[in-house]
Amino acid sequence: MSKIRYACRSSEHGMARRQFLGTAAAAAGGMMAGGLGLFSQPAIADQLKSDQKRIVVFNMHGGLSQLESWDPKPGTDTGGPFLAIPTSVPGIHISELLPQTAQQMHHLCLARGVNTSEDDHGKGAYMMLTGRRQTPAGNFPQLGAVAAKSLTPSNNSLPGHIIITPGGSGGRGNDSAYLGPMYSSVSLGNGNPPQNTTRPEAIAEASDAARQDFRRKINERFLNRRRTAVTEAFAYSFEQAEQLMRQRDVFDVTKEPAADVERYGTHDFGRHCLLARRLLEQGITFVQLSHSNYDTHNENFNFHIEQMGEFDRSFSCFVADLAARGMLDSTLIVVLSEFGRTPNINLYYGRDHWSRAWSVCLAGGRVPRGAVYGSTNENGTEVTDGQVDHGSLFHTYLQAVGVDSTGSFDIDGRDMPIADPSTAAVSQLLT
Amino acid sequence: MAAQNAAELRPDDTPLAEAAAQLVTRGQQISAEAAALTPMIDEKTAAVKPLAEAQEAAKAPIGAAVAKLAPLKAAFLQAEQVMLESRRRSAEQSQRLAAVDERLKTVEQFTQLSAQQQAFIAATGAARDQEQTYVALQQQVSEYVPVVAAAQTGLTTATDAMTAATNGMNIATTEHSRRNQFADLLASAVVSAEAALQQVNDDATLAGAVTKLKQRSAAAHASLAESQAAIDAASTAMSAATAAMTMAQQVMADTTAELARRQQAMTDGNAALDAAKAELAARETDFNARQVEVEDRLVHNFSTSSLKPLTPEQLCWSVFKVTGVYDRYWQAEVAELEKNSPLTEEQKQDATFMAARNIELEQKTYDKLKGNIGTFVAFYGAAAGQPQGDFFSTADQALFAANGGSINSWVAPAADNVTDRVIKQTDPRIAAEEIYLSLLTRLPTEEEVADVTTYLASRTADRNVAAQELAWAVLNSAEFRFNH
Repeated sequence: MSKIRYACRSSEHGMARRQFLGTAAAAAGGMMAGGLGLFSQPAIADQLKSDQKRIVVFNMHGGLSQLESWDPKPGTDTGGPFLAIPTSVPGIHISELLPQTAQQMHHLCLARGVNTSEDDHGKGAYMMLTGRRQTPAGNFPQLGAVAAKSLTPSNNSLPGHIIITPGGSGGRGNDSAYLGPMYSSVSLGNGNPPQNTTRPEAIAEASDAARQDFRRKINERFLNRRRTAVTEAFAYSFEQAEQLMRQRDVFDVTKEPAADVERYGTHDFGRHCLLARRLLEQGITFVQLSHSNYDTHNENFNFHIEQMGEFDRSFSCFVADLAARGMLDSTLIVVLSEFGRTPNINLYYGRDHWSRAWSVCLAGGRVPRGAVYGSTNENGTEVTDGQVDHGSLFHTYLQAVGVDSTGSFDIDGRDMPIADPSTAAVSQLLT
Repeated sequence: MAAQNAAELRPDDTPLAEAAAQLVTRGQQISAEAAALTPMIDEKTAAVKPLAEAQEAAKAPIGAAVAKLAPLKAAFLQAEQVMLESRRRSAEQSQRLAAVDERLKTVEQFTQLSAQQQAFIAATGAARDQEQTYVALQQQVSEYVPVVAAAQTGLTTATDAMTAATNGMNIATTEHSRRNQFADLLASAVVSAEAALQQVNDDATLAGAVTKLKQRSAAAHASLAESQAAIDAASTAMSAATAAMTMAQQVMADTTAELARRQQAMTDGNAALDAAKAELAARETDFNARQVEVEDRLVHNFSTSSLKPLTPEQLCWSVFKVTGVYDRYWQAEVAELEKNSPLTEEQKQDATFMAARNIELEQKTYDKLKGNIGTFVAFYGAAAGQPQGDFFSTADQALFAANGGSINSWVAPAADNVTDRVIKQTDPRIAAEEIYLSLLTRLPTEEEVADVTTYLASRTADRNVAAQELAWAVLNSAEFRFNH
């Protein structure tokens, strides 16, 4: 026992400290941004591991055409040139642009009656990711922040909310609103590990260890006189950073077998899907990745051949792998966009923004397998049955992974409903 | 009358005349009534007189009563004063009592804190002892492993010897029985040959053969003793080997049992160590939680100020100030300005001009450095649109501090900054003072001087690096992060 001192690196200690942080923060009376509600739950690692629920969101940036994907209308005035093909579930047909995904239909569930009444990219995306309309009065946390706060086990030192972006240098996102920066997304720019997780070459490992040890020593002297919940949180952030550096491999997709890289496709999206699989397997609560760009005002059909081809390959592998690894029960998959695309084909062979009748694809968790809920009319211009919207879907996502979406977060003593209280989960999308 | 006069003045005014006449009539009426009432005055006055007298008579007892009341009133006022005073005292007392109570609670908390600290220290010691015990037990096991191996070797040797002895015995026995058989055959041959010789006397050849046979038979019988001796020798070897074998087996059984005992002791020791570690973690959690409680109490009763995190902007500028970055940039701006527009002697004497120039320099320095503020706000500030007052601490901040370019480059030695001064300072005490005064604006305690001294003494080979490490560690300490 060479290190008998505060903040050693043992896992028991991490737990104890977290638990302690929770109780201390409660005693201090909500000085901490976003509260610490979840830290106060004592838990056993193994149990957490088996109970850990996760969510992965495929954001089809720009607005995926429901007619070229989940709800084809071949042979109608709006159907376009593509056919519908049978899937692994008898009676369910999807676009011929998704032949491999069709073979995974028995894991999937389609909501074909989505009506969000919002044709603006930004507003639509906001609604789909927060489950609410944007208001000037305040901001709402995105699904990832809500999931990170509600589902991340207290002993997990990895960030709970990850967004894989097509580019960029990473950093902390502005998407957790009142839940606070603890639950903001950590973005992996083009699938690279989080920023600043590599020690600069100029600083030797021993040198870093020495200065961190000295920092702990100074802290310990100070904290023995002035220990508060905030100083604990501050000191803990450094321990967390070190743990994150030690676990950096979690983010390294090159550690995945070459055969899988080949199977998923060597393009960025394939790599991102494989990274998502790795992250979820390593216990990350929420992963969002995007496929871009579906805003096909021109040449909708050519674009969809190309984009869907990429998506079909990687997505079908991803679903099949999660199912094969027994992760579908605990992992919710959502394929969403900000809206769908118009049934009407414009004179540039494009489809425009359309939020009145489109589709979202779900899988895993409590979502029924191999099912379709809701329908649109013959040429896809209206929802005829099973209408759902961003708010009810948001409740559904959370309930699919066991979060009581009708509850509230306690934010500095103020109850903030987890999801829009004026609507409720879609019971038909939950088993 | 006035109406009458008016009526006379305006004889043609009929309504006025009428009114005047009415007034006159009314006046006469009243005069008559008054005349009738006048006698009643005396009557009434007479009636009142006895009453007044009675009143006068009554005044005397009242006066007496009032006179009596006065001292009572005085006594009452005095009593009231006493009561108010005691009430005030009582309030004061209860306030004091509450204060004492509060202090008592504080003292209680401190007592508990110290008890928990003792428990923590005891648990630390126990864990350390248990660790040592465990190491010793491990040592005992690893020490004993060669002994078991030696016993194993001994057993193998004994087994080999036993096998060899058994083989020797087998060989000797086989040889002896072979020789026995041969001797028997020869003996019967001698008997047969002698019988044959008696049948044919004087057969020289036969007689010769008999003699030879007899000779061989005698030799064969003689050799039996030899092989019997070999058997005896093998038998002795065999019993020796058996004894050795039994011994080796015993040794093996003993050592195996001993090893198992030591291994069991090690396993028990490990369990005890785990328990001690768990106990330590629990005591540490209790102790730290109590420290937070005490801190809360002291903050809430205004004994100490509450800790206030620096805002991202304050943090950034504070780092610039203490690491000398600000001064370096300032000097660069001074040099630049001096080059472009040198100060005249006259300007140097002009306070207003110099003040304006200082403001200009401040602005220029700020402009050069302000890019960093955005970085600090991105890491240490809450998201746009969210309240900025609440403290939060995330791993990405610590990663930025440890691995980001900014802070590492600012603690690198440069033109007389704190790191540079520490590197050049040969007296470790002064070096420690440099660090604590520059970065935390206070002198180090003796313990802290000792910390720095030890740190620098162990790093004579790479003192440059060590000085940077020290500066980095202090900049990233809680004491720097919070106003206290």
